[in-house]
Order: sequence, then structure tokens, then C-alpha cells
Amino acid sequence: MLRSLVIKEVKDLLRDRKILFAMIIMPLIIYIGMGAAMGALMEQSIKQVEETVRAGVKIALLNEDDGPWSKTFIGYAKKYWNATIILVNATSPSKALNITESLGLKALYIIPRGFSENISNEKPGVIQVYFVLHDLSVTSMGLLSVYTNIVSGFSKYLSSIIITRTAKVNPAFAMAPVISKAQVFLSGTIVNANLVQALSGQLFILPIAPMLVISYAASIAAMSIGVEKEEKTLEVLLSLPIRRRDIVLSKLTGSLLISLLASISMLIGFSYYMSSVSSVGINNTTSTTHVSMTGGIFGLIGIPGLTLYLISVFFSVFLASTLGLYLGSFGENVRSAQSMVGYIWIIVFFPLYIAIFTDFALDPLAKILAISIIPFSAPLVVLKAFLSGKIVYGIISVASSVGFLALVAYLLTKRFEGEKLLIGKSKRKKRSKHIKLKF
Amino acid sequence: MSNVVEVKDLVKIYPGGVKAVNGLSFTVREGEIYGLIGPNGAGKTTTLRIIATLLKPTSGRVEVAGYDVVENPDEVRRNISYLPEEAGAYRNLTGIEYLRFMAELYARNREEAERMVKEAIEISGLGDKIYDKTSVYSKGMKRRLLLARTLMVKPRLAILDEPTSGLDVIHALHVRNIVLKYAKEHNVTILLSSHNMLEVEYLCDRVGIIYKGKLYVEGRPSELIEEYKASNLEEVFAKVVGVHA
Ligand SMILES: Nc1ncnc2c1ncn2[C@@H]1O[C@H](COP(=O)(O)OP(=O)(O)OP(=O)(O)O)[C@@H](O)[C@H]1O
Ligand SMILES: [Mg+2]
Repeated sequence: MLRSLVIKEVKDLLRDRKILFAMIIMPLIIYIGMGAAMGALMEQSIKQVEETVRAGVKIALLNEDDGPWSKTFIGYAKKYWNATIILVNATSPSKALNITESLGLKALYIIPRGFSENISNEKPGVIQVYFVLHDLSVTSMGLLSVYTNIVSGFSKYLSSIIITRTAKVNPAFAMAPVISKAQVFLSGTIVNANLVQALSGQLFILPIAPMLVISYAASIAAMSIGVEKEEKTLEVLLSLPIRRRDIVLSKLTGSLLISLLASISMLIGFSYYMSSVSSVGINNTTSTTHVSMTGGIFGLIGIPGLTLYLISVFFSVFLASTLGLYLGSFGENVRSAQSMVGYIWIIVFFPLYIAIFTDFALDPLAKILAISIIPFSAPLVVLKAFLSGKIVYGIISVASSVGFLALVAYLLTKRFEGEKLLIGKSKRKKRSKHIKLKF
Repeated sequence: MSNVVEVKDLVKIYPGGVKAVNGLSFTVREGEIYGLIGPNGAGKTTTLRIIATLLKPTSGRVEVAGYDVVENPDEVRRNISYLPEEAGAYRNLTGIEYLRFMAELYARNREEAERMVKEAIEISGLGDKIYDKTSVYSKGMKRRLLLARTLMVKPRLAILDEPTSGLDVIHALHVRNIVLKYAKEHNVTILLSSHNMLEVEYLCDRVGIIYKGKLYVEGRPSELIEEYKASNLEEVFAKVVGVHA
């Protein structure tokens, strides 16, 4: 009996083009489309920058110094960067910039008077880099870093010359005599600090997936009751020889199944997006750490941690469906039911992010306890609890989710057993609502 | 003969304060077709919804097949099949999928469910259209599908709130014949409401005229016509409602 109810629920929802499109196809299109576009655009920008560098950058130079070290700089830029230096004569930087722009050049270097003298007297010299920016594009940003790199490259080049001339040491050593190698001792394992930094970055990304699934689940559940009211099928449904709690249960199961499908589709899209964006040069280093990291964070918390994490995600999604069905039941049609849960992501989003900024080792116990108890914090609390070895908070958090779930499920069943679900607001109340709308 | 429906001193006040039913009493006997007639807003739908366990009485007692609608709603629902005044079908299901889904909820086994669906297709008269999604059905087609699903389960009591509303003459005729045939063949008791006096006269063994939530007269159509010295039920209705209006 319950089975045929669930099948009807899933069939009716899945065949709805709007749902199919919004929940299952859209994430695929958005992520894959965005990934492909981002990948292509980034690749194009990088090519543009590389081509410009290969062809040799053209730089306007206002050389107020005209001493031996500025000549060294010009030589360096020509030799190592294949740069074309166009000397400009101007009485002020702004005039020099006008000339630069009229020549169609992108950068102006100004070497002020006294540059060579400073360096000879062992004082740092300054080279001003002006970049003519037409647009805040990725290509422009790439080029800007090329022009500043020329100057910092020159500085290193000078260092090695100075070190060679004045000291009898290996310049490579002299320029970096100490290297820090940070290790982190985390939940009983020694981990590379770079990895941990990437890992904490991942803590910001990780909640996004459950958060999306949770808000999907809420809105699908709301839709499933909104549709019954809109299509006037509720009255028959409530008169059928089925216990009211079985109706509730079948609606929840149906929306859980569809949110599962939606999550899978989203996951496929998201991983495609990540891979196409990270296959591009710029992000290479960070994304490889991300990839090894996903295994990393779950590797750190182990099988028990992963199990509790999945349980916590399941109960959060279940709670969201139940809440969505409850809130949605106050709407009169699909649209108003959906608007009832439109902001549910806020109550999901906040606990997750408060949990991110909670330090399980340093914060007061009361705060950690409070955060563990508020609904929807569970997935993150579980991760943090296992990382910090304070597993009890993970368990408290999941238990609290189950508690909230029981409470909302109770209210929901009561609502389905009562008559308000069918007759909605009384007419008198409706009238006062119309008056309010006028203001 | 035992009573399938017993309504005693029923009062229903809606949350907004509207007194829709005001001390209504009547009984429906086993195997009969009972018609509730009354002007718009008389409280017919409200009464039928209470009998179908969808609304709770404010006071009074309602029993269906011996079960109290407040104390034993699950038992009551097992004995009834209800056609609401305004109802739709799931738009993304085909007619036959809708019937199958409903049949599975009532039938004890697969064969029984298939038999119900077969009968429902016949009752509905939808032919090949039964394989189309209900979203493409006309109002009348939907009404026939829903009526078919109400009757196919052969309930102890079928509650039909304006069964032929929205149907053309031919289809209304078809539906009336089906209702009559079903009630007598399968010993289904039927409680219906209607505005169509011809229909009520033709179908019902007994009728009750309700007005402002109260029962004013009750009896066999022929008896009422005689009693009120009218030539048909429409005149009886006009006299009763006119007198009290
Ligand atoms: N959900 C509701 N909230 C408040 N009042 C209602 C509600 N539904 C119906 N009523 C009121 O109850 C009274 C009886 O309505 P009901 O629908 O039972 O009449 P009816 O006899 O079925 O009328 P009709 O022939 O028009 O279908 C009316 O005054 C109506 O306005
Ligand atoms: Mg009515």
C-alpha cells in the first residue's frame, strides 16, 4: 500500500517538466555549461597572455635616472623577457602616461632620478610600474602580473649579482637560507600544513553540497503538497483507506528519492565543473590539493566518522523534507507552498557557517554544545567533532537532528489528521489579509 | 434493515465563525440511494465532508457503518468511497495509472485490483482516452474518471457530491444509469447531493431537503410530491425553500 503511494508520488513529481528541469536537468546544464565556459575562457586568457609574452612585451620607459643600473635593467628586460623598450621623454608621469596610451602601449615604467646612485650606495632603488587597464578581464590581470614580474625578476637577478660580487657564498643559498616546513598534528596524525590549509578551505566548500540538497528536499516536499491542493486531489487522498501518517510517510519518501536523484545530478555536474576549471593552468596547484584532499578529510576521520557524517546528512535532508512538507502545507498552491520554504536555505546556511567558525578546541563548551544542538549544523559538527577528537558533539548533533525530526513529524501528522489542511484559513482571516494587502 | 449512515444533531461551525450545519439529523439505510438537496450554501458539502471524515463535527454524532467518524475515522474510511464536489486527478498520470493506483489501495490482491480497473474503464466510458494523461482531459472526462474510481471499489457507502455537475445531458444520463445499476447490483449504499431535481427524482429512494444547515422535509420523492400537492420534485423544493426563505 505504502509502495503504491510512493510510486504515485515519484511518478507524478518526476513527470512534471518543471520539477524535472529545475531539479535534475538544470544543475547539470548550469555546472557543465559553466565549467565548459570557464575552462574555455580561462584557457583563452592564458593563451593571450602567453602569446603576448612570447612575442615580446612592449614597454614605455621614462628613464629619469639614465645611470648604469637603469641600463642594466633595460638589458635584463630585453634579454630575459624579449621586451621592446620604447623610451619616452616627458616632464611628468602623467604626461608620460598620455604618451604611453597614445602609442597604444599597456605599460609604462618610470625609473626616477637617483636610482643608480641609490643602488650603488646600497639603498633600494624604485621602479614605478604603470599599467594601462582598459577592462578588469582575466587577461588584463595576467598581463599586469607579467609587468610586475619583470621588475621583481630584475630584483632577484640583481641580488644574485650583488651576492656574487660581494660575498663568497652560493647565491641560491644566500637568497633563501631558511625554508619553513610546517607539519600539523591533527587527530593523531601528522599532516602537511599546506594540505591542512587546503583542507580548511574545503570546509567552506563541503557544506555547499548538503546545503543544496537540503534546500532541494524542502522545496520538493513543499511542492508535493502544493500540487495536491492546486490540482484538487487532496480531498480524495484524505478520504482513502490509508492512515494519515502513511500519506505523510509516502510524501517524505517520494521527495527524499527525488532529492537523491537531484543530488546525484548535481554531483555529476559539480565534479565536471571542478575538473574542467582545474584542468586549466592557473588553478592547477590548488585543485590538485583539493582532489587529494577530499580523500584527505574523510581519510582523517576514518570509517566511523564517514558513517556518522552520512547519517547526519541523511537526517538533515529528512528534517528538511519534513519541514518543507509542514511549511508547504500552509500554502494554497504550488507557488505559495514553495514560497513558504523559499528562505529555508537561510536556516540551513547559517548553522553550517557558524559551525565552520567554531573552534572545537578553544571555544567554550556551552557554545560548542549550542551549535551542535541547533538543527542543520550536524554535517559540519560531525566533521569537526571527529577532527578534534570530541566525537561526543557529533553524536549530540545527530541526536538533536533526530529530535527535531520527531517533533516536526509529529506536528505534520497532527496537521494531516486535522481539518485545517483541507479548509485552510478561515474566510474571516482571508478577508483581513486582503485588507493588509492594500497597504 | 440497518442504517449505514446515522447523523444526529450535527452542528458544524467553521473556524471563521460560519454556522454551516445547524442541528441536522437523518439516516441512510442499507442499500438505498439517498439524496440531499438544498440551495447553494445549505450545508450539503459540509455534511458530506464530515461523513467522509474530512471535517470534524462541532457537536452531534455521525456514524458510518456503526463507526463514529471522530473516534474511528480509519474504520469509516475503509467503508466509504468519496467523490468530492470539486476534484481533480494527478495531471502527470494517465487515466489508467490513476485507476491502478487507487485500485491498489483498496484491493486485497492483484486480480481484484485488475478487475476494479477493468470495471472503472467501462464505467468511465473513456475508451482509448484512458491511456492519455489526465491533464488533457476535459472537465466532463475528469468527472467520469473520478466517478469511475469512486464506484469501482464497491464500497459499503459511496458519497457523491453533485456527481453529474459539469456533465452534458448524454453523459449525465450515462452516469445516472451506472449509479443505479451499481447500487442495485453490488448492494452499494449511496448518499448523494444534487441540484438537479430530475436526477434526484429518477435516482433516489429517499431525499432530504436541507436549508440553512437544517433538514426541512424527508421522504420518498413520490410521497413528497403528493404531500406538497406538486407536479414534480422541483415544485416541492421551491415550495419548501420558498416558504422558509
Ligand atoms: N472552508 C470554509 N470556511 C468557512 N466557511 C465555509 C467553508 N466552506 C463552506 N463554508 C460556508 O458554509 C456554508 C455551507 O457551505 P456548503 O459548501 O456546505 O454548502 P452547499 O450546500 O454544498 O452549497 P453548494 O450547493 O453551493 O455546493 C456556506 O455558508 C459557506 O460559505
Ligand atoms: Mg456543495
